[in-house]
This record gives sequence, C-alpha cells and structure tokens, in this order.
Amino acid sequence: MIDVRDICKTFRVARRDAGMKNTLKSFLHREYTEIHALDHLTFSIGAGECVGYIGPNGAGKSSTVKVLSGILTPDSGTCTVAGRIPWKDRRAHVADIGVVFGQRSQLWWDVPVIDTFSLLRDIFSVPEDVYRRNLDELCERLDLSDILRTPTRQLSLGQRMRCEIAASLLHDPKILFLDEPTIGLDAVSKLAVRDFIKTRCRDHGTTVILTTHDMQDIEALTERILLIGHGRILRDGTLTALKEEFITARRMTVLGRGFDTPDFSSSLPHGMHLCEASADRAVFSVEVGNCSVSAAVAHLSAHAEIRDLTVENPSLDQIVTQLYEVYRV
Amino acid sequence: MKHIKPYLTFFSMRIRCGLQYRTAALAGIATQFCWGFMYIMLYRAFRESNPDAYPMTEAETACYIWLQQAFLQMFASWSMENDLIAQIKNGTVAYELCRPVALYPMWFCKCMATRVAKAALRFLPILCITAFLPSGWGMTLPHSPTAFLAFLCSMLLSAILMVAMMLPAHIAVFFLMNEGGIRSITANVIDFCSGSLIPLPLLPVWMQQMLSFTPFAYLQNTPYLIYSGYYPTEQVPRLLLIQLVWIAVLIPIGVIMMKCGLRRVVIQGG
Amino acid sequence: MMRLFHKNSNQTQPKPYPPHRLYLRFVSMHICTAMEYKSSFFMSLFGMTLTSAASLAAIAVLFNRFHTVDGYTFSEVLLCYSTILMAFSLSEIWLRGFDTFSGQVQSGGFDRLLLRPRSLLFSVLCTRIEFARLGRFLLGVTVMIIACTTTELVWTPARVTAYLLMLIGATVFFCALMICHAAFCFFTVEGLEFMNIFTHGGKELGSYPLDIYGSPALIYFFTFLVPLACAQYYPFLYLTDRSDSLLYLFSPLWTFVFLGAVLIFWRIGVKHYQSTGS
Repeated sequence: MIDVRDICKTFRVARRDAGMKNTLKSFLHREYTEIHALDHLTFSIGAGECVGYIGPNGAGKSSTVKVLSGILTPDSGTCTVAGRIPWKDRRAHVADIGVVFGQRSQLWWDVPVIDTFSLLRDIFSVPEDVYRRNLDELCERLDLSDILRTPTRQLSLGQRMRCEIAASLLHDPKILFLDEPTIGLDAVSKLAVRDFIKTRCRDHGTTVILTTHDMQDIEALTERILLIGHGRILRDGTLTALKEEFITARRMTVLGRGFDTPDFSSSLPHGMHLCEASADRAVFSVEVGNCSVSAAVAHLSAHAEIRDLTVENPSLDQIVTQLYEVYRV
Repeated sequence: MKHIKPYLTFFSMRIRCGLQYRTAALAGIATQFCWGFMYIMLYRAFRESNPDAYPMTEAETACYIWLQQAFLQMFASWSMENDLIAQIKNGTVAYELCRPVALYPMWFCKCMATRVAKAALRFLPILCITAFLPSGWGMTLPHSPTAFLAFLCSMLLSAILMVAMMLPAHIAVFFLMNEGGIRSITANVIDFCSGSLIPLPLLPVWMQQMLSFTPFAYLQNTPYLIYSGYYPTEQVPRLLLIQLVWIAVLIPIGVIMMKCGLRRVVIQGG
Repeated sequence: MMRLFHKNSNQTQPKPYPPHRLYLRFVSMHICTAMEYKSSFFMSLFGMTLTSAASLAAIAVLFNRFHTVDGYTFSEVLLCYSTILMAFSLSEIWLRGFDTFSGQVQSGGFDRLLLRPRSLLFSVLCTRIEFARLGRFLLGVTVMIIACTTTELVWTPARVTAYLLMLIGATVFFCALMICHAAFCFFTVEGLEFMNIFTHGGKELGSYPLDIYGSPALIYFFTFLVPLACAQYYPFLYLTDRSDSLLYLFSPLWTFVFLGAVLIFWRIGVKHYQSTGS
C-alpha cells in the first residue's frame, strides 16, 4: 500500500540568536543551517496495517506524513502510495487518503458540524448514498448524533477530535494518517478514539499510520512500530519483539517480614538483586533469562514471610526512552 | 529609575522585534517612499491647475508629506494595542488591578513605546534620503533654528496628545466589547481631521476654522507646519499652549473612562 | 491495458460535484458565518464604507478649492474614482482569501487545502468571502451614478462599451494583483507590505486619470509592468473623447494577459511551497 524508498529532504533554516547584538548582526547578514529532515528514508506498509510512527520532536515524523500525503515534494527518492506518486497527481491522490492533524482543524468554526460534513461531501464529490451510509456509521461508532448540530466552537476538545476524525473519513479513504490524534484529550475521549480507530482498521481494512507521543496509543492500537530519528528509520518491528528485546529485568515488590536479615540478602538466587529493603518491604529486580519469576517467588517464600507481591514490566515509555538512548536520538 | 526599567525593557523589546524583520522594514520604507511621491505629484497637479488657490509653497508641501511619511507609525490612527484589547475583551484586565502599577500610565507607556519604536526604525532613512531630492520634491532644512526647536517641542506634545486620544478609543471597548467599529471610526475621523489624508491648509477655510476648535488640528499638523515655517514663529507659543490644554483635557477623560470601565469589569466579575 | 485501467479508475471515482455549485455552497456558508456575528459584521461594513467616504471627501475638498485638475472636471474624476473603487471592492469581496493568504501559509491552513481534491486557486478562493466590503462597492455604484448624471458625456454604444471594458479590466487587474500578493507568500511572508504599493497604491493613484501626475515614466510603468493604465487611463481617454484610438478602447483586455502571467507565477509559487513546505 505504501512503499517509500530512499527519500531525502533537506531544509535551510535561518539562525536566530538572542540579544540585541545578535539581532543587529543578523539584520545585516543572515546565517543558514541545513537540516536533513529525511535522510534516505525507506520502509513499506501493507494494506490494512496499523502502524505506529514514533520518534522524538524534529525527527522527521511530520515531514514523512507531509510527503506521503502529497503536501511536500522530496529532494530525491521514490514513493508510491496506493499505486500513485503522491506529489505527482495530487488531486487524485488526496481523494484516497484521510489526514487528521491533531492541532489543525478542518471544521468550520462557527457553523454546526453537520454543515462542515456536507460541505466536505461536496468538496470530495461523495455520492449521496455513500455519504449517508458513512455518516450513519460514523455517528454511531463515534457517538456524534448529539453534537452534529452544535457549532464547532462550542464543542469540547474530545468532541471536536471525534468530529475531526469523522470528517476525514467521510470519503472512504484507503489510508488514514493520524497526527497526534489524542493530544490534550481526557481519558474517556482517548479510549473512545482508540477504540474507533481499531475497529475501523479491522472492519474496513483501512491502512492507518499513527504518529504520536502517547505510548498508550501505540500499545492499544498498533502491532508494528517504526522508530524514526535523524530522518532515518532506526527500527522497524513488532511491539512484542521490541518488548522482548528491551525488557531485560522485571521489578518485584514484596510486602511482608524478614527482608532485613544479612542471611536473606546473601542467599539470593543468580539473577535476582535486592534494590531496596526495609523491615516490611523490599524491591527486587529480576533478570529475564537468568532467573524465572517462580524461582524468585520460591526463594522468597522459603526465606521470608510474604503478605503481598507485585511483578511489573517496565512501561513502554521507559522502553522508548531506552530506545532513544540506544540509537542516540 | 526602578519604575522606568520595565518600560525601557518593553521599548527595547519592541525595537528588537522590529529589527528581526529586515525585509519588512525595507519594504515598509519603500512603500512609504512611493506614497510620498504619489501625494507630492498629486498636489503639484492641483497646484499647476490653479496656482492662486494653493495656500502652501511647493517646499512646504514636500516637507509636510515627507515628515508625515517618516513619522507615519507615530501617528498611525488605525494602530491599536491588540493585547490590551484582548485583555479587556476576555476580562483578564481584572488581574492587572492586583499589580502595584497604576493602569492608565502603564497603558499610556505601552502605546507610546510601540509608536516610538516603530517610528524610530523608519524615520531616519526616509528623512536622510529625501533631503537629497531637488527642491519642491524633497525635505528641506527647518525654516529657522527657532522653528526647529519649536518643532521638537510640538512633536513631543503631539505624540503625547495622539496617545491620549487613542487611549479612550481602547477603553471604549470596555463598554462596546467590540473594537472593529471603534477602530474604523477613530481611524477615519482622525485621518481626515488631523491632516493625514490631505494637509489641513488645503481644506476650505470654514472647515479649518471649525477644526481649530478640536484637538485634531493639533496632532501631526502642528509640528509639521511649524517646521516648514507655514506657521510663523510668533504663533508657536499659542499653538504649544493649545496642545498642552488638550493634553490636560484628554488625559483626565481617559482616566475617568478607565475607572468606569474597570468598575464594570469588577461588577460583572470578569 | 491502459484503457482498462482508466475504466477502472472511472468506476471508483464518482462524478465530481460541479465547482460552480460548490462555490455557491461556500457563499452560503460564509453568509451564515458572517451572520453569527451580526454586530461585528455591520460595524465592519460601516467602517469600510466610512474609509472610502473619507477618501471621497478628500477629493471633493480638493475640487472645492481648485475646481479642476489638469483639465479634468470633478465629475470626470468621480467617474474614474468610482470605477476603480467598484473594481477594487469587487476583488476584495471575492478574493479576500488571497489578500489574507499569508495567515493561511503561516498557520499551516494551506496544507489542509492541499489535501482537497480541488484546484488550489479554487480552494483559496473559497476560504474567504468578505461581504463587509459590499458597502464600498455600493458607495462606488452611487458615485458612478452621480458621475454619469452630472457629466456632459452622451452615452453612445461605443462609450458604454468603453466603460464596461474599463470596469472589467480594472476588476481583472485588481484580482490579478491579489493573486500575485498571495503567490509571494509562498516565498516570503515578510516584506509583503511592498505589494500595497500596487494594490492600495493602485487604488489611490487610479482615483485620478494617470496623466495628472505629470510623469510619463509613471504611465509607462503602469502600462507595461503593472497594467493599471490599460484598465483605467487609456479607455478613460477614449470615453471622454480625448482619443479615438481603438487600441485605447480595447486596452483593458491586456489585463487578461497580466492575469495569465500572474497565474503562472502562482503555479511556480505552489511548486516552491511543495518543495520547501514552509
């Protein structure tokens, strides 16, 4: 569905420094720095896939979305999206894609949402029956029936985002780009949005590309992750593989008695380390592969009294931070 | 000194903002040159059609036009402080009351700083370049050293008068909650009556007499005509005095309007 | 094979909704939006009319003192002024989206337009319609009627043609300037004030027949580079019997060539925007 090969894009940015002296200096002579936003970017995505596109700020996420949606022409490289080169045949291309910018609304501010929808129907030349069908379905799935007649300016952020997503799906796009769709939303709206995207992907076979900073989005929605940094794909893999590789130790917190004896701490099995201990509470790190959880628990129950026990994997956030460190982005 | 510091910081920030947009500054100056030439050519055309009816000399007209272009931003009737208006409209102005600074002087300085900073960036290049133009087209030296001194005094007073006149327009937003109408009415009335659309000496005599009873005639019109000697030196003390009187009238009006406006905000609870 | 592919794509692509009807839909949406803020709308309508009324008053004041300029009478100048005002306000009403385009580029709103399966010129045209400028247009019409009734001109078919061509030419001219202004935004959003020399400057200069300024260089400039004179000065000479050259009568058509050049510039601008994305 999407095939990206060796895409490069360089921007020239004027440098501006603080202070009166520097302002005066740049008034006379301006210095530019080159930024390689995309540097031989290569990846491909199959039809119906739901892919999470992550990376720190300025890594090239939005440049990629712009290239794929035909807004930006790359310096070099090839790219086909749904059989077309996005920047060659813009009008035909955009009819096949839907784009949701989390911070850039396409809803008409002062008129009821339904008016924007019917305007979009005509902009995208959606036949009336198709429009009816899509609208009904979107209303039901996103729970829009009550807010359709409200002017956009009176909607809450969560309501607006739901309408925003509906607006970009009215023309049945084959591919949906979501740029930070859950930014600033409350927990309930986040869940609703995630749930909708998941079912949309499953029922309609829509290809979804999701850029986000919210790791819960990724965890809830995508199986495959593309990590971008310095304009390159640093890692392309499944969430499970990523977890397997990066979850090297589990954290075990135990409440009970008898953790502070010197005998207890010296007899720990291989791969199990005591991180902190007091009379009635202890935290261990248990290395994956060297010590199984059951071995650790067996040891604990043999040498101390356990009242409560929790085992945690590191969160996805931590994994991603670790990933960034590994790849130095 | 401690009290002036915030204003100085604000002023330097404005200048720096202006400098950052190099192309914008150059484009602005170029635009003003074109406008200046256009007006000079227009008035020359009228002068040639009927020389007896033309009250000023060519040099006086050119001086007037170039001073006007040089200090355009100083007397810009359409420019209002958008953040002040936003504060009034969304009610956050109520928080300003908690600060230990009196509101009217602060707003006054803000308006003044914006105008001075914008004008400071543009007036010198315009005056310097136009000084080299042939007589009747370019700037000339002031009529006399006394006239120049009087021009400086009058310029200062008319700048203060301009801000004192613009502030009530801002404060009126307290009562109308919409600045669009106020902006265009203020701008058009000031433009026409203060001589920024056409120099006041070109108006019919009865109109000039009527305007001399309003503060409008003592804005940019007065210093520019003093500079070129159209207003003779013996009239200067009278003109300066009238400017002072109008300042003394308009500032209290602004202060009182602001008090009423703030009371409205407090009563409505922001 | 090729034909098969085409047939296939025709099936998936439904018949496009006709652009003229889509434009009307936008017009009605813009009316709805304006009516959401009625007081603001009427204030702005009033203010805009006032601005033009002030410039009209300035002309009246000057004629009150001087009676004539370079051989042109008051009603002749009014005819010229009203035509330019009508043309300018027409372009302002319908092409306001181009006038305020720098905001679109800066806020990224233009990216959204790139995501619509419509021509970009059309999309920008639809973004804004400024009915508040209607007052200016009506003022122009009023002044035109006054000028027509007070002038000694006899309205022969040739003169009516000249006048209509003048009005059309001037409208096309100002529309082209607005698009040109917008196209500059693709390269820089700084320094656009310069374009005001041509748009607002053109409106101000064009209030009087261009030869009163006494500068042939000015007329050449506004003939060959920015063809304001073709839409105003030359047909006006024909209209007021100062010339009987047919070239002068049809010179407003030259503004269409100008418009064509501007549209090419627009396309170059879009290409540039798509390659820098800023």
